Amino acid sequence: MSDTTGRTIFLDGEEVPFERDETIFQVAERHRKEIPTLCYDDRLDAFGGCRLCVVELEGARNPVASCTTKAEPGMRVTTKSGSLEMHRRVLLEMVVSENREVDVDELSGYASQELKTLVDRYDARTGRFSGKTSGTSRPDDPNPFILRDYENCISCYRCVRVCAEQEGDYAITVMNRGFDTQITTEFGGLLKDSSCTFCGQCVQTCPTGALGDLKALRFAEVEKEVEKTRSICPYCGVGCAVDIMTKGDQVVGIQPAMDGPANEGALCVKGQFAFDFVHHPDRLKTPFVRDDHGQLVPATWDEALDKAAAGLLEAVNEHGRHSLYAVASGRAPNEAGYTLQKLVRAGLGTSYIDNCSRA
Amino acid sequence: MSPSNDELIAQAKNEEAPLLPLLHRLHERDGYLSDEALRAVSKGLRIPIADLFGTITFYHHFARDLGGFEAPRVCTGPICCLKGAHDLVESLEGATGMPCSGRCDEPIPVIRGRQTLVGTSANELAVRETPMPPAKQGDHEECVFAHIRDPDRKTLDGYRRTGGYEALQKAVTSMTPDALITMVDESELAGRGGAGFPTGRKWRAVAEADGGPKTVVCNADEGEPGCFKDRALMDHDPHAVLEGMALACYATGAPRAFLYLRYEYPETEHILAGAIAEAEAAGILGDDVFGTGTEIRIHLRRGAGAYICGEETSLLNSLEGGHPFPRNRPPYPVTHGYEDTPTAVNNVETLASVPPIVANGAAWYRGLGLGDHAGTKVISLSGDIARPGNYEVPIGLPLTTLIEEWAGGVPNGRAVQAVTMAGLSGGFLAGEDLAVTLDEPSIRSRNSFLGAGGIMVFDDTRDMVEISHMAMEFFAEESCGKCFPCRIGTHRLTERLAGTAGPDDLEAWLDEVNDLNKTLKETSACGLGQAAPLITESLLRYFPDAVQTHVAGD
Repeated sequence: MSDTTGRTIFLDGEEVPFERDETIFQVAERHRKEIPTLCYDDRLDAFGGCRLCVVELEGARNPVASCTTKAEPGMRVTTKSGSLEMHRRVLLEMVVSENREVDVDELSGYASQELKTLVDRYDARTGRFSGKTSGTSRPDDPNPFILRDYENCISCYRCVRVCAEQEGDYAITVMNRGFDTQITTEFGGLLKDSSCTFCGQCVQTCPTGALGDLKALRFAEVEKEVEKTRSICPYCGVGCAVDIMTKGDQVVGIQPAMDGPANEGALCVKGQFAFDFVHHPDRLKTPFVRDDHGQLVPATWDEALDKAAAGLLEAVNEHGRHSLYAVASGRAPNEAGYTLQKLVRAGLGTSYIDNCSRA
Repeated sequence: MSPSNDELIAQAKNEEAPLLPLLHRLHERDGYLSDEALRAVSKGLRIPIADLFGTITFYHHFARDLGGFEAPRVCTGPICCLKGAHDLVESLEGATGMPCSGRCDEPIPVIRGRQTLVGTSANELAVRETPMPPAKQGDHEECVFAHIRDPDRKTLDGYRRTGGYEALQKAVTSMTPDALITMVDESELAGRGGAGFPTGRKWRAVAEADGGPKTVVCNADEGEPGCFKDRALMDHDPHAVLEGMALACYATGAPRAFLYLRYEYPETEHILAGAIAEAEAAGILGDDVFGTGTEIRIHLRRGAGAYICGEETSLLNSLEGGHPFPRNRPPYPVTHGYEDTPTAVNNVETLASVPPIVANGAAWYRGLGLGDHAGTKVISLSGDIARPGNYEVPIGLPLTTLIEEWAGGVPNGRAVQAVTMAGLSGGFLAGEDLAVTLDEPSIRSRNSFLGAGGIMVFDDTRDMVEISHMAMEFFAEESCGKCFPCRIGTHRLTERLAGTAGPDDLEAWLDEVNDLNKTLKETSACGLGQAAPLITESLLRYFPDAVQTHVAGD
């Protein structure tokens, strides 16, 4: 490839172009180098903690972290070598040695299999570097959403960083230092007493399942494959893309779609955890209308719409067109909102239309 | 009546780098940092409470229980352990250990509140002034110690009597910043905190960097075990350090400077605060330096107990009130330092070397070293040595000359078994490698480095595996927890040196330790993790028999 922009590096001997401000890791990702990492989440500022992504850079004394090193013209980078693979395996063996277990259920969270996948790829389940394990789990936290199993924490701080950088909640932090580091809330308390909004972003970025989706994990014992179906969150008009996880006919959990155009992996507490209505016995499955005694009884859509239309017309006839007032749901998208105001303005002849976000 | 939270917070809001001074005021007012006080700080300085909580737990010395501020902290650094520090912890009520607190040339130090006492047993603890560097040895000329023993040197009058502040006056009235930088450059002065980066080059990079205001930081977070040179300089010659800082400010165009002092030097804080006030009152520092209109303000900031804050980017994060993890580099502090402004971070000794260089010329300083080496280095010598203390040596002096001739050799008729280099960070030198000269090329050729110049001497009765264990335990305790190899690796090496975990089989043990050494050294994010394995590497190199006995028994 010819060097027209003056911005190329040599990646494992091949001259490749890079864009301004790109890191070596990002360039290598585009070229499918599959550099391992545990502390990296492309939505977050690169951290440089796990050191698995180290690459050899000609002229540098030691390997450099590719996630924090910007590409510069003429760099000669080696992403894979005997020495690098040795370091990566040793680092993974170290990580395995500090955790209670590596195998966690895939229902734990979106990224929960990252450690296990790398450990298997590097055949690092060797029992080397035995010693004290790190992290103190919080089974005393009674919240129904987020498992806090820090005995499986590897201190990559993705949870702390996503909470601060993506959510702006600053609910969690890291306390102490070195081997005693511990993810915690202010003063070591419960999540409900912190500024946590239970959005679950920490759960979804955790690469070890130390933070887990408690609602999904209720179905861990069901012996069926997890199927994922792409959909849109039904709650508000933002339109966050989600993957609905099912086992058979049972919805077992929700994961944010990292490639969702509106949310890029983000969700709020409702979209993330509030899906129990789907299988709830009280869920409405047909329209209801009131009978002559004022009791709600099941009806067909035609019956229900006829009844509603009749009621609206009656009100207009008796009290005039301005006796009506419509409130569009905040959960409705723009198109539905537009249709409603059209109905109200053109159909019913009043300008009394509002949205529940304001009304 | 002691000031309220609101009053202290209002005061802090008018200060540069307000978090640490505010926390210290609350810590001392209440005797600990209460939840209530921290919530007030969080609100007042707009720092998320979780972040603030995480950050204060990072530091060793912030107490979270009532009365914790006054509870005795006993130095359990390597040299103090040899003197019985653990017994002293046991015998003092409520006492806890603290990492090396920089008094290795004295009996064991104990910090109580704002006071340091020294002694080897509970009933003989007493306040003692910082030892003066021993009388000059040999016929080599000194630089930073040349006048330190002069009477009243620590007062402004005493300092000026032998030419103090004349270098600053000369610079601001008759030299351009560029000429000053060129002079420092030509002197070949290099960083004396351990990294050895050429000072003139650093200053030029800051002077030429875009953005501002420029900032100078004096790194006085002397946390390396076995290093106590900066304390001697600051306690006995505080104005020399301030003058060096002011010269750095003038050279780089910085109107402000911070002196970041380690927590364990409370008396030094008092001395420096007094010296800054004296110099400001005399128009030497402040907004009109020597009547030239130049503004140079020096702010004194005190750490709270964290070795990693001696690493310059951790220090900057600490100063800014953030979590003191090291930053990823590049960008370097010379372009993105304190609050992302171009910043020159220099060690105390480096800065104190500048006034004599300006007074006597670059060629004079270069000529102080032996052979091709430029300048001098203060060595903090401690351990099994007749006369421990700070010695300013010409760079290139043979190590044995320092130990045997200058410092009186090993006492009790014993011989040197090993010495540490760079405090602990350079690992051990022993055997034939003791024939090094005190300069980086010589020491680096033995897989070690001179660093900040701490040398601990161990005689032939000492258990080198146990000393290695103490050293590695220090690194494990001080590891910040940001990068995996250091956080886990220093802990695993400590366990293996203690014998509490790891294989019983020598070959398997060596296999693990060698892999840990290599991965720590080559993949750790900062100097702590990269240097820690020099301890185990040099132990294996010089004392393989002791290791075999430790792992597999006799």
